[in-house]
Amino acid sequence: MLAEYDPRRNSVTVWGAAKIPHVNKKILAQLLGWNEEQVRLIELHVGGGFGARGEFYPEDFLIPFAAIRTGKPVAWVEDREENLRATNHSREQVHRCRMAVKKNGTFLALTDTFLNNTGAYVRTHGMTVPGLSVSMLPGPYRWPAYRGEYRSVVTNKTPGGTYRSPGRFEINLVRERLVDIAARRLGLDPVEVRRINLIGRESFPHDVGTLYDGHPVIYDSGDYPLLLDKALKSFDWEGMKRWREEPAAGALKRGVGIGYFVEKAGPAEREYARIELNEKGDVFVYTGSVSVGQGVETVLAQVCASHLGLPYERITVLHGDTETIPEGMGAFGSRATMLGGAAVMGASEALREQLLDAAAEELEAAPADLVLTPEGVSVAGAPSRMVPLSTLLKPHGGVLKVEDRFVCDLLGFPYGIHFAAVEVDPGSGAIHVRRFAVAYDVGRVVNPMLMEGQISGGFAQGIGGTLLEEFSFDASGQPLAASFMDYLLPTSEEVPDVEMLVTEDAPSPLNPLGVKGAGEGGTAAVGAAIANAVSDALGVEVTRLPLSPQRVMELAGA
Amino acid sequence: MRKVAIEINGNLVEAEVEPRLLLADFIRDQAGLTGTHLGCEHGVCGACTVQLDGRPTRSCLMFTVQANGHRIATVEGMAPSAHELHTLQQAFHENHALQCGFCTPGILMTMEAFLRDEPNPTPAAIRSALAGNLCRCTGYQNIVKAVGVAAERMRKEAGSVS
Amino acid sequence: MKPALFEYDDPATVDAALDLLARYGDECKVLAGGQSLVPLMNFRLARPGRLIDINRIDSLAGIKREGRSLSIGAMTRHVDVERSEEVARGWPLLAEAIGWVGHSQIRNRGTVGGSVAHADPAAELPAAFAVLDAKFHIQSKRGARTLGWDQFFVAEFTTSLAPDELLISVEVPPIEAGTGLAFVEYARRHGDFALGGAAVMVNVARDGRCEKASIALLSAGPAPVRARNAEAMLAGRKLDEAAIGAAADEAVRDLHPTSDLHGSSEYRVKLLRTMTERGLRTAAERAAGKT
Repeated sequence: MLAEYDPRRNSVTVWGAAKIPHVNKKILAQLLGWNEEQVRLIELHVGGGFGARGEFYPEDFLIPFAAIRTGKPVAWVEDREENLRATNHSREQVHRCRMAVKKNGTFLALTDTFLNNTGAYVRTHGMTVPGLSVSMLPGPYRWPAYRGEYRSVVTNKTPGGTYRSPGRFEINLVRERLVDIAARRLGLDPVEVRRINLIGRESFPHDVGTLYDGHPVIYDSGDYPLLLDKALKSFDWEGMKRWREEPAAGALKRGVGIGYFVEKAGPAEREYARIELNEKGDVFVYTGSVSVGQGVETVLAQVCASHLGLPYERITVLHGDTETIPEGMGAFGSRATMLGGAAVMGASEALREQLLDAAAEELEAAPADLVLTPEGVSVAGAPSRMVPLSTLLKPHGGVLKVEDRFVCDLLGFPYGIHFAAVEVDPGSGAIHVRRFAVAYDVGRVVNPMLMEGQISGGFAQGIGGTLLEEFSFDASGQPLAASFMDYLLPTSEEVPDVEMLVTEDAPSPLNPLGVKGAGEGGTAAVGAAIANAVSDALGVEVTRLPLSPQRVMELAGA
Repeated sequence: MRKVAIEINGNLVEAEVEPRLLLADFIRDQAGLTGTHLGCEHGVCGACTVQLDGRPTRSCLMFTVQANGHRIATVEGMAPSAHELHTLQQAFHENHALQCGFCTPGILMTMEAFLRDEPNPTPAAIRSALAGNLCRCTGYQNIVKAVGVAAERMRKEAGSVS
Repeated sequence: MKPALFEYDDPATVDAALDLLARYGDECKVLAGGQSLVPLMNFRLARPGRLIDINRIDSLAGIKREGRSLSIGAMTRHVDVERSEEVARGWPLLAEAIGWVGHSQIRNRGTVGGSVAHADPAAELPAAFAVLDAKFHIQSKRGARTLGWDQFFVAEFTTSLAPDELLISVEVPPIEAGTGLAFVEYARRHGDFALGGAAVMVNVARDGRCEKASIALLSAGPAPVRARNAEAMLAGRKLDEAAIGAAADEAVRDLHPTSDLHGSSEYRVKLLRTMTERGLRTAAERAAGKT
C-alpha cells in the first residue's frame, strides 16, 4: 500500500486498495473526519482476495494518516509472517447439534448451538460469519422445525473475518455429517435419505424461515432432486460404491462420501456501471466491481458485447479507481457477475436503445430493423443506408455515456453437491483423495472456463481447509503457524483434478441475466464430503477438521 | 558494498550493493523487473523463482552478490517479442492457467526449464514438477493442462525445424 | 523481513576459506546452497556477523569414485547427485533419498555438504548417510580429520564441526551386490520435511535368511538414529511379516521424538514404526528380486 498526501488539494490518494475500494474510501474519510471527495483509493493488480484481503485493516487508516501527518509518501509492505499473524482468520466454530428423524429417514427437527471464535476483537465483518452459519445450516432439506443459536466469543487470537464460503464451509460439515450419522444409525442409504428430504422444485421461492443480515433467507430458485440425479449419473455413483467395496492396496481403507449444500451469492444489494461509447466505436465499461483475479473484465465485456451488440474485442473494462468510478460495492460473496453483470447489462441495453432510437429517426426505419457496428448504425440488409457513429454521437460531444445502478436486496442461492472417494492410511494418517467431483447449478453461466476455474480454485482451498491448513496457538497464545513452513497450503500434489458438472436448470428470477454467483461453490462442502468419506472408510465418525495425520491415526485406532 | 555485474535477460546490469541484498529485491528494485514476486521470503512459495544459469532457483534465497558473473532469466525475457508470447505463456492464456497471476512468473520459469529437461512429460510428471510453486487461485488443474498443451506444441515446433 | 547486516567473503580456494574460518571462528557462518540458512536469516532467527560464501570453490564440488567408495564434494548440488549415473548405478539408496529432498528449485541450489552440516533431524541425507555408514572428511588450518556419521551428527542442528572447520567431502562405502534397499518417508505435503522416515538396507542369503540389516530413522530424535537392536534382531532370520513387525516394534521402542504442531511424540513413534515396517518390506522384496 502506498499513500500520498496532496497539500494543495488537501486530499490523500491510496494505491493498493482491493475488494471494496468505495466502502473503504467512505470508512477512511469518516475516520479522518474528511469529505469523501478528499479521499481517492486506487486498486492495483496484485493478488487474489478470498474474503480476507481488502477489508479495512488498521493499516488502511494508519498509513494514509502517516502520509498526511508527515507530508511524505508512505509505503507499507507486509511480509508473510506478519500476514499470517494479522490477516483475518476464520473457520473456528464448535457446534452442539441434534437431529430428530423418523425411522424411514424423514427429517423432523434440527437444533444447533454453537460457539464462534471471533478472535481478540470484532473487525469489519462483525457477526457475518456466524450469522451466515446459523441462517444457512438448514441447507437443501425440508425441516419442520429448526432452532439455531450462537455465541460469538472474543479470545486471545487473531481477529476473524470471512473466508471463502464463510460460515457455510463450517455448517455444511455439521449438517452433512449429521445426515450421514442418522443414515448409518437407521441402516439407510445416505443418498436416499438426502433425496427424500430435499426441498421440491414446486416449493420455490422457498422461505427457509431464517434471517440473514435482517433479510429473510428465501431460496430464489432450484431443482435439488434433478441435480442429484444428474450428478449421480454423471459421476457414476454406483461405480464409486463398487470401487469402495474392492480391496485397496496394502493397509489402505476406502470410503466414499457426499455433501449437499446451498450457497449464497450477491450480497451488498447494488452495483454501478457506466458505459461510454466513442466515435471510433470503442466501448469503455466502468464497473464498481473489482478484480481479484477472477476474470471480471472478461465476463463484463461479454455481457456488454451481448447486450450492446458490438464486438467483444472493442470493449475495455475499467475498475478500481474511486475517482473515475463514483460508486461500487466491490468483489466478494460471489457478486461480481451477478450484480456487476446486471448493471452492465442494464447500461448496455439502455445505450443500445438510445443509439438505435436516434438512428431510427435519421434512417426512417424501425429500431428492430437496424444493425449496430463499430462504424455506425445501418439498416439490416442495406448496409449503405448508414448513420455513422460520429453523427449519432455529435449531440453528446463525441462520447455517449449511460449509467446503470442495479439494485436487488435479495440474495441468490446457487446449490451443489460434492463427491469424495478417499483412501485412508491408518499407518501414517494420510488421506489420499482419489476422486473428487462437484455438481453445481448457478442459474446461468456467462463464461464456462472462468466458472470452472472458480470451482477448481475453490476446491483447492477446500482441500487446504480439510487436510492441511490450521492456525495453531500454543497455551500462552503464541501463534505457531506464522510461516508457510507451518501454515500448509496445498501444492499441486495435494489437489487432484476435480470433475465438474455445471448446470443451468434453475436460473435466478432476481436479475435479468438469471445468474447466481459461482465463486464459492468449489469450497463449500469439501470438508463435509471428505469427512463423510473418511468416516465411511474408518467406521468412525469424524467430527472435526482439519483431518491432520495425527487426528486420522487417532480415529483409526479408536 | 560490493560491485556486481549480472546478466539479466541478456542485458548486463551493473550496480553496487550491500551483501545482504536479496537477489529478488535486486531484480525488482534495481533492475526494475517486477514480474518476479515475493510471496514468502522463506523459500516455500516459489513466486520468486528465476533461472540462474538456466536452472530454476528461488531468488529470495540468494544474495545478489552471489549472482555476480552469472546469467539470470526472468519472466520478462520469455516472450520472443512485444507482439508474441512464448508458447508456454500462450498456452497459459488460452487454458485459463492463471487467475490473479501472482504465482505465474515463478511457475513459467520453473516449467520452461522443466520442458527443456523433459519435452514429453506425462501429466503426473508435470504435476510433480509443479509442486514447488504454490498457487492459491487455480487449483493447478489448468496449469497442468496448459503445460501439456505447450509441450505438445513445442515438440511439433522442434520437429518441424530440422 | 530482510536479513541483518553482515560482512561477506567469497574465497576462491579451500585454503583461503580455512584462513577465514581460523580467523573468524564462531563469528562467521559458512554459506553453501543457502536453502536452509537464508530463510533463517530472512526471519532474523540467524544473524551471523560474517558469511563465508564457498560457492566459488569449484574443487569442493564433484562426484567421483575413490577406489570402491563414492566421494561427494561438499559443494555438490543435490541435483547433480540426482542426475549422476555413478550414484544411480552404485548407490541407488542415495538416488532414492535425494528425490525426497524439497523441490527441484531447492535441489538446484542446495548442497550435500550444506544439508549435512545443517543437521536437521528431519532431513533425508543425514539418515541416508547413517544407513550407508558414510564418513565425513573435514579440514581446518589445524589439520584434517575424518569422522564416522555417528561422530559427525551430534544433536538437532548440531554437528561436531568446530567453528574453524570446513566439511570437504562425504565418503560413502560401496553397497554390496544383492542388497535390497528402500527409502520411505511421510510428509504432510510433497517436498516437506518428513514427519518420519526410514532408510533400510538388507542383505539376504540364498536361503532367504537375513545376513545383515541396516535401518536408519529420520525425524526420530535429535540426530539420525540407527535402530541397532532391530538390526541385530533380524540377523539370521527370514524376513517374513512376523520378523519385520517385531523389528519395527523394536526400532521405535525407546524413541522420544519431539512433539510439535504437526504431530505429537506418540503419533511420530507410530508413524516411524509404519515407516520401518514398510521400508523393511520393500527392501526385503527388492533383495529377493536380486538373489
